[in-house]
Amino acid sequence: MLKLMKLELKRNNIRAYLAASALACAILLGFIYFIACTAQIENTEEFVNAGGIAFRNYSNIFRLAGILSLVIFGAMSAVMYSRFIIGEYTGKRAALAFSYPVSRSKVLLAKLLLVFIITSVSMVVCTSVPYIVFYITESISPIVIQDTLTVSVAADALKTLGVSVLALGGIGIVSMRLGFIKKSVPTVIISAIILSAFYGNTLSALYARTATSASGVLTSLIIGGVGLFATVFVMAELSKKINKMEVE
Amino acid sequence: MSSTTAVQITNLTKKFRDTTVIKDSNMTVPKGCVYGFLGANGAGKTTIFKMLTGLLSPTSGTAMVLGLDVTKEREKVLRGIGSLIEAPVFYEHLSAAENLELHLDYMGTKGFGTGVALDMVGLAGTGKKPVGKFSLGMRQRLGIARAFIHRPQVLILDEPINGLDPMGIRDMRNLFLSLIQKHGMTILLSSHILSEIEHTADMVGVIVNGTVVCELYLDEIKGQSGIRLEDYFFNIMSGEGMNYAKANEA
Repeated sequence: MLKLMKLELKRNNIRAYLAASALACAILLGFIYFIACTAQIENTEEFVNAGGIAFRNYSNIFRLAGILSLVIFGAMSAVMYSRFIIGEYTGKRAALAFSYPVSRSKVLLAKLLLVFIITSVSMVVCTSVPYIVFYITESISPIVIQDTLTVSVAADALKTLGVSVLALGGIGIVSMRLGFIKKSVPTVIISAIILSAFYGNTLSALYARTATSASGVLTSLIIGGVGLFATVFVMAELSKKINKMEVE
Repeated sequence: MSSTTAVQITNLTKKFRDTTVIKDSNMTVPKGCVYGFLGANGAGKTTIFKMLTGLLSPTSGTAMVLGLDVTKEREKVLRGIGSLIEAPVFYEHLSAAENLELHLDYMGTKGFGTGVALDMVGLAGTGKKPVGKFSLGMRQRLGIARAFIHRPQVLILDEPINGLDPMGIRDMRNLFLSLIQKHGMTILLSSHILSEIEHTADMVGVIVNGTVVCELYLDEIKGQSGIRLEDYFFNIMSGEGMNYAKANEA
């Protein structure tokens, strides 16, 4: 499996995805400071009534940044799945992919694992770094003066990030499967953005209602479990389809 | 299937939805020969090649390569064959050598080695130039190199001279001869160009409207006086000469 993943890396140029991840990291960093500063600068009645002061609270700042991160990396994972899976099994490229004496299921699994690992690691690194930088600068010279940034707030943000990574795997694979029906890259990307936004909003709403730690953990486990189930189901179903696929 | 047979198809039929593309076809390719598969555009040559390489599954009948059923033992069959079907597809950002190295990695063998294979098809000087910048002829040569670099026992080449200039065509003819004589390969190649088959093949199979209508050694026809090869095959391919072929076979 490792050899197949290395071969996938060899034939696909992933530099563009790494550059996109670095850019996403910079955008997230800028976004965190932007919402923290805006909530402080704006003090009009209209802004307060619109809920703007919600971002005078670290948990909410991290939550919003987490949703943005999920949408960005959801889109990136959609593009990668499109390139690695849909592009590979469409038209004449499929003839090349099927000309090797290697199990089609194993090749598919190698592709899925590789995209999952790259997008997950990118998301963890490129979201943690802005969090950590923000945590450090807030510890030295805070922008948000109405709240206190504790280790537990930062730990909660990282825990949510962990659940989001699992969800990202599910979102990417489910979107890819939807796009695979018509072999359409735009379908994959739009599905990923919709699913990411839906997941982000659901997560926010659930966290808002389930304030206690135990119910928060349960919520995370349920969401992670749904993502995992979707991933395994799509992998098995797609593997079966690709094994029987013909190149007309 | 005899041990001297490289490829055998028996009562092969392929349907796409309601259309029957290949009808009850039979074909036998002996080991160590160049088998020219002749047919008009759309006659079904590529479809049969795709069934031999596992890209399509037969609706009925069997396709055997090196004694193995392609449908049941696809991976084993793929290990023993090399193929070039339709226009070859490459990883455009990689060089010719990198494309071949990748192919060898997947095949799990060192084969001829990339340097030797590129030299054999006249692409030795391409260096790090990405395949995306190759001409049509260069791509075709590289596609042929990829088909044989892992030293397969059977080479399946669909219209291999497409896009080649006269020099390139001559080079490939010599290469095919060398692959058979020095490396013991069997070559099954398709073409709709009569003269190409005449120059390259030992044996010819003719497909008309999805059915292989005759198979014969070229020497048999050449040995008969008063028959022009071109007329002989034109008659068969146009469907008018079935009786003509049968009469000659008899």
